[in-house]
Amino acid sequence: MALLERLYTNIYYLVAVVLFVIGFHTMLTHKNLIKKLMALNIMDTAIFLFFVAIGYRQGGQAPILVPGVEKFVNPIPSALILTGIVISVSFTAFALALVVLLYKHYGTLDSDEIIAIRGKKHV
Amino acid sequence: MFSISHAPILMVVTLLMTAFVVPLVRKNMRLAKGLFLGAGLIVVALAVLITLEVLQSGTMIYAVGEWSAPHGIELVVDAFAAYASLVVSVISFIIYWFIVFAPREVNYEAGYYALILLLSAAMHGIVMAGDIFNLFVFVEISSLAAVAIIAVKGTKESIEASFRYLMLSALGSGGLLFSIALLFMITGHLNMGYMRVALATTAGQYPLNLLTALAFMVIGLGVKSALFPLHIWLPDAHANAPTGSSALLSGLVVKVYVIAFMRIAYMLLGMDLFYILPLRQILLVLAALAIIAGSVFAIVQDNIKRLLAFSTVAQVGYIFLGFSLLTARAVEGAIWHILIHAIMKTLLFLAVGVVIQQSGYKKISQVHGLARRMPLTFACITLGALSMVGIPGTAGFISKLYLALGALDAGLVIFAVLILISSLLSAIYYFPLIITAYFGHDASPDVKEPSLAVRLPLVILSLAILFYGLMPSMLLPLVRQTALLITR
Amino acid sequence: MSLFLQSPVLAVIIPLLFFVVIYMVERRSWRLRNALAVLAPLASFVFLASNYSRVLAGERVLIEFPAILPPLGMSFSVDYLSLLVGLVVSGVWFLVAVYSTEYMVKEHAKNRYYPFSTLTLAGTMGVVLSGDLFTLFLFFELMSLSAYVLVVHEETAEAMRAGYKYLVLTIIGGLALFFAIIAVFEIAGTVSFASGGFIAEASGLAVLAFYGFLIGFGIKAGIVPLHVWLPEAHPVAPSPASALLSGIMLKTGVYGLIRVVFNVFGHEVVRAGGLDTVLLGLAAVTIFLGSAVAIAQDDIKRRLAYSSVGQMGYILLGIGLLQERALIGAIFHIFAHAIMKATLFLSAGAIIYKTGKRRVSEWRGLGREMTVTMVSFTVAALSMIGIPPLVGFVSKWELALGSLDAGSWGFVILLLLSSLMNFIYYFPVIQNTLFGEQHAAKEVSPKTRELPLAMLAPIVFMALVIVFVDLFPQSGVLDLAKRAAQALFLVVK
Repeated sequence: MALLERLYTNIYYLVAVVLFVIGFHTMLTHKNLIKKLMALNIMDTAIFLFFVAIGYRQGGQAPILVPGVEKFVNPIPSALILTGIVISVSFTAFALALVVLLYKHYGTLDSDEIIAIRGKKHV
Repeated sequence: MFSISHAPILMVVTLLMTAFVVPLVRKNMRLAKGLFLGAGLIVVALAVLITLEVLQSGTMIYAVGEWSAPHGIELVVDAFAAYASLVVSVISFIIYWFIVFAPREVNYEAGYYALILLLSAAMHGIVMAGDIFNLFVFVEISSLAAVAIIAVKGTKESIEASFRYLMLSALGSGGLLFSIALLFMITGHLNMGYMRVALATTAGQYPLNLLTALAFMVIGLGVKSALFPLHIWLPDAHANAPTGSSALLSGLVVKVYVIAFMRIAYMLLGMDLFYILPLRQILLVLAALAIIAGSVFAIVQDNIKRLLAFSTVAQVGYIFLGFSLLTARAVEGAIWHILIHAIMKTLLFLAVGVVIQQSGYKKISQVHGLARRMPLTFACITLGALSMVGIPGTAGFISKLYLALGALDAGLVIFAVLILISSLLSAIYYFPLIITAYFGHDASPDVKEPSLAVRLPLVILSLAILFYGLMPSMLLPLVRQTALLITR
Repeated sequence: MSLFLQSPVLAVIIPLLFFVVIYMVERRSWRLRNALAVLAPLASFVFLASNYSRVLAGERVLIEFPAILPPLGMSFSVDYLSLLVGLVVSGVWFLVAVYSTEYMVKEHAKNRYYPFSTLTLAGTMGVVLSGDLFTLFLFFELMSLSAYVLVVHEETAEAMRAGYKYLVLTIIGGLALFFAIIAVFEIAGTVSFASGGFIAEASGLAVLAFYGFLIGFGIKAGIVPLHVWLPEAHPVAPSPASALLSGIMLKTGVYGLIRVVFNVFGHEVVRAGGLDTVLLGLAAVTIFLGSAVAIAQDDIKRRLAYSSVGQMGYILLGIGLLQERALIGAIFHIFAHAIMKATLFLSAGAIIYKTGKRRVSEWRGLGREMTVTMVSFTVAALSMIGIPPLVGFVSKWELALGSLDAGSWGFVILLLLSSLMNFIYYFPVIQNTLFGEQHAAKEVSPKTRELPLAMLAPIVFMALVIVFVDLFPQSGVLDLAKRAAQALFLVVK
């Protein structure tokens, strides 16, 4: 019972970790390049979720100064993940550009095939 | 008016601004090149000024935008940051010079310069950062730029190598960010100094959290600095990049992540905590494996650049080894090695790049007798190789000396022996290249030395190797102070 | 500081500078190149000799450079041992250089040989004139790496193979030395040679260091079983280089061991730690195997190479006995063997130069054609066997007396036995050439019967030295050796 209790209070962290692992694992094991990129995004999003969950205060309001409100959600994590999202987007954009080039050079989006083609060409 | 106190941020800003301007003036390549070199030179000057200031008055703390900690972002320029800035700026400038004057290897030159300037800005940011998230942002910028300067070459191999680097680097970044989140959870701060204070009390309360955070941090920074066994992206990436990029990557970029790790260790964790954790032993083992594995893999390589890349894996192992031994001389050795390996590896990559550019040959088996056509270049390669093996009189000997002495100080004789064995392995993979070049029969009549402007950086780096081999006294006080920060 | 005071440094720096100068001028004037190559060792000899009176008065000339390479620093010193060995090195080098100006005319890649020969000289002088372990190590590596170029000079497959073996063992030896030096520095905080040694006791790390030194210097000296590079490297080099390798460079290994045993550990510590037994064991094996295998060799240069291995065993014996007389024998043998082996290699080289014949079996009757050369060879060979009053006898005599001092008859027997073996492999050569029937009709044309003066003079000079040094004890070599041994045994507390 106590275990379920703890799981419930930390549900956001739990989900974040699960998503992180999904993303991590997919990146390493799946062969399709686009899937790898999607997994990367999932992984990053998981971390952002984790961050935001850290900042949450029970019963807190949005962090805008308004008379009469005493309890706020921590604004710092939100600022951090904004930066993080930008970074993630830039990475994805760059990676997609590389994927396009890879398709142009190798004709496939399967990483195993690419390695095989390269292995043959490689003296 | 200009005051030294703004120098830290000026270094980053100058490089960033120039990075944005250079592509705009790409129609006028002379101007672009001039701006590129000019920015490099300004940063060198600023680094020197900062170093003098730090040696005189101690650590400089710079609050960006005059927002002070714990909510503002700080740049903490201590002896280590000054030293690292000096190393990065001077070596970068030498590489800039080479890139400008050597025959071009990329199509979009102005863009290439911009990417390199971005990378340099990020590297300076990393070594000076006092705020963990700021560090993360700079790490990301540098990772993207580092991947880009490989991909810009445009060949099949380089695109594939850079994509793999990008994917693994992104994994590392994810790990790093996750560890930052965990640390933020238990300390409530992002400023490294404040975090250390907070950790002193909360570490005992949340040991699992701290250990997880550290594990992810080691993985994150380990991937980026190519610590064994997370190094698999490196040989392809460094070997298939344009010459200047390879030199930058092997000589500076991987080190910067090791520096970041070391700074996190003493600024964020605090060395007291570091001693308690099992981290030290794990790093020792990984470093030893890196040294052996890197050397062994290098021996079987025929492609010269791949050989140099594997050598880098081993050398990064030395730096981790020195740091993990945690005796005064071992840490000094690791810090020396940051500079000395940067000089040696840059020299080797640039000289080998010259050989490839002039002759088209990429493999050891192809360069027989070539030394007669390119005596200066191969003399530089020979000197660089002797230094990597650790022949006394060269700079490489100094770092090995200190590392070995440090290992003995720690009572771990086995690591001193390990360092010596790796010297032997280094000789085994470097000497065939030199012997083949000097003693084989010469079959390429129309290969000649590059222009004087290209030879200049090679000569300067070679002289540096000899100079630091015999008279390291000039930088010794700075290195000592840096080591003190860690060993206290 | 006056120029005079800086003499030991000059003896090292001049060849170093000449290396650069020769490299720069050799394309323009081969005469200048040859002249400089001959001048370098002569200059070293003279500058070193200028310290003679000071050293003989009992002073140890010491020049230190602590600023270079902290925390170790560099230093140069001249004491009795350094003076003797240094003069031998530069003197013999000078004679070999004169010889090579004529010999190398028939060879290729002269523009590589001369600079690197001079560079090797610089390294060797640096080793001999060093004041501490680290300086010794630095120049030791310089010398070894530079000598590689001389070993692979012919660039044949065989030469490259021999060079590779040489290089690998040299690097291993260098690393063993490096380990030993840092271990010593760790224990004692200094690496400077001190009278009577500065290591207090044979602790675990100190013993490891000793073995490191033994491996490092043993590889260079050709001590069995670390000698495996030698029998291929010495023959495959051009003859003057062989003379230098066998005659001089091997000595740096035993010189290093002498310094280690007496000026780093101190003979008392070595005895206390039982390390002298190791030295003696290795010496015995080396003497025996070196001489035994030499008998089986037909190629003259290989025979001489194995002979060198055996002879280095003698010197190691002299060190390991830890007796003053034995040490005198060892030090004197450094001088004697250098001269003898150089004479042997140079005359063998001369014969190969004139007739192209390397095998002893083909040398029948050559004594008639190249009399002076063969007589010199004979003198040197007889000296190696140990016939009085030649120099070879003196060292064996002192070694034998030293063995008796140590109470060991076994070694005296070993010395006699090895002399017998030396006889077995030298005498047939002498007999063959001087008294044998000539193979076929005139192998050597009567017009070119004897050698050019440049090659002949050094050989004859050294043969004369072999004969006369003993007949004139005032010549001071033995005296110098005695004083050197005395100084090394002195333990200043």
